[in-house]
Amino acid sequence: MSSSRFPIPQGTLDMLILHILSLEAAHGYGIAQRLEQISKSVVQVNQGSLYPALHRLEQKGWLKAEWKQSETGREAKFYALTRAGQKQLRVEKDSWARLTGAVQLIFDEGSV
Amino acid sequence: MKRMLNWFRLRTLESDLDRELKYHVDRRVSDLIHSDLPEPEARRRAALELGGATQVREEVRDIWLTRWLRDFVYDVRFSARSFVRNRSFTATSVLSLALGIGATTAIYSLVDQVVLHALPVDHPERLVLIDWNGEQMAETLGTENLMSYPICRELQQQKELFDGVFCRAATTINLSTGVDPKPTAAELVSGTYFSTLGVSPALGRLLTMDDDQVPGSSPVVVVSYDFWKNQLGSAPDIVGRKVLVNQYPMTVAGVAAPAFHGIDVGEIPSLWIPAVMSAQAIPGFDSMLDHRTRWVQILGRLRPDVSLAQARAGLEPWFKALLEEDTHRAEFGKVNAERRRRFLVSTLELTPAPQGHSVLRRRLARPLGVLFVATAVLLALACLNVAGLFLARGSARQREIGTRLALGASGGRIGRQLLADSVLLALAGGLLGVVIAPLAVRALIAFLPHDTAASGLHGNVDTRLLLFTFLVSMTTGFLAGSAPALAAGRESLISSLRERAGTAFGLPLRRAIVTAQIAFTLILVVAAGLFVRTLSGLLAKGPGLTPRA
Repeated sequence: MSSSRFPIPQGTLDMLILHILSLEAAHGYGIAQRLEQISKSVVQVNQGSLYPALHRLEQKGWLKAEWKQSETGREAKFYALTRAGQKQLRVEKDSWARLTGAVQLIFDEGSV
Repeated sequence: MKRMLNWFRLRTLESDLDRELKYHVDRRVSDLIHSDLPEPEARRRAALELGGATQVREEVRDIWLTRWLRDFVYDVRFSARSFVRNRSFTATSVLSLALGIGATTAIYSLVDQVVLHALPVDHPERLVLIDWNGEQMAETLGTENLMSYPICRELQQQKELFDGVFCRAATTINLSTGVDPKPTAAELVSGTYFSTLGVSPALGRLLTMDDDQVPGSSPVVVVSYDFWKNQLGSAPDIVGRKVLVNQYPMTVAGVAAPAFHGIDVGEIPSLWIPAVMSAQAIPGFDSMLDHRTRWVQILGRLRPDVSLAQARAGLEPWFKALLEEDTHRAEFGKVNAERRRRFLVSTLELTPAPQGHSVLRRRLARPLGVLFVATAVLLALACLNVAGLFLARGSARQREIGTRLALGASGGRIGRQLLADSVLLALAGGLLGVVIAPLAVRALIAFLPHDTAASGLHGNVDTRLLLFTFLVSMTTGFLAGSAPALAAGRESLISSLRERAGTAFGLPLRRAIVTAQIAFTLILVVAAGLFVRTLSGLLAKGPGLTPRA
């Protein structure tokens, strides 16, 4: 792992997991791979913190889990978004947009 | 809630997680091998990326169960083990706590029975005591809340306010059931007494309005269940038997329900006599129908749709008319204008009386309260003492605690461990206290004159008492444990790893606390003795009425 990659900002991992699962259900390893691909290896996700995050989201009722056959033929634990999870994703995306927008605004202001 | 459930399916959750993590690692390893990494290297890499399976497992476990709950269970287990190892310490603290908790429970039991306990009758909350407030211009025969018998009869007519009104007067009669006459506690009651209270007979019949008409016309008595059982040998043919009340023959009409002991916890009657027989029951008494002789307490049962204030207001016009009328009666006599004015501004006072009426209660509520506070102080001292022991033990355990701190336990974590220690001890103390308390209550009751209060008070432990003891124990545990727990939380790693001679909680201070505890116990024993003497004095004072010479 090269040091040129960002460590993922605190608190955004949950949002990214919710987003990935909103596209389709996936197992833990699949989510890790997807994160790597989507972020084009710019963002570094500590795989150790992925599973606690998944279980935390499941506990909150935003994800539901099910053991299903994976692409390799072995059983894997697949996670999917619940209705509450979809709602939460909208809320988080919204606040993210507002935050980045505000930060951008401050940068623009400074450069004038 | 979900987390509580997780506690019970922990094993499933664990094996699930293991499977999940194994799948992840296997996939990663096979992917890495595909990208031409040798297998051992791939395995090492996969494990490294995950950051240690054990750590992940720990972290996920914290999500399943609140960390607090999980730690608490471990703490309690650990505490129990260390207590078993350290017997003398455990015995001292548990005994100290048990004494404090036991004493508090015992006194609370008496407070509960004498002051708080509602009568075992239908809807005791609707019972009210009716009392004269102001100048009554009457001769008093007895002590508190007394009024004349005719007022009771008039109140019985207020049917739109009351479901029933009755009056009663406690007295002692000489009762002969065959052999020698014995002084026996009795209650003179109106015919409405049993029906208003909603008491049913165990045998025969109870007194009714028919027994309450013309003075001297109804020589019947109702005996209490306990009296029937203990003094009359549960004779099945008791109804109809003749007894002598002050040498006057009367017939037993029936036996009252087992749980009913009258309405005064301090003066348990063995039999009930109609008020119309008062001349026979109280030698020399002939003022039953006199408006100016106050000798009965009057209680009423409010109708369900009538509030206390409504009843008070509803009685006002009738009572004003009665006062006016009274002044024209012959018995009223000649009085000066000032006394007359004070008589006319009198009012009727209604107070809720779900516990019935008791002179004993009124007199004992305060001393019992004081005694209760005193035992609470004793308990607090026991807490302090145990806290002191804990701190002393804490300094002996410095090495253990230091090691745990060095291994990464947080101060709060250690503090919680100590708190679990003290809560566990306090619960053990509470358990022992519950065993001690009934003995203490019985010992206190044993000092009382036998046939009166002793038969009404008991040393039994009920759920209410158990709940009380449990709450007291928990509080005690937290109080005793909080000081050492806070001290441990503040302890820095360096200072605890260093060998130290002194303790945070000096020996002199502990000695002072123990001394205070012993002194206070002594004061409490003396106070309890005095209290019991007061109680027996009150109960031994004899009849509630002073017969006219």
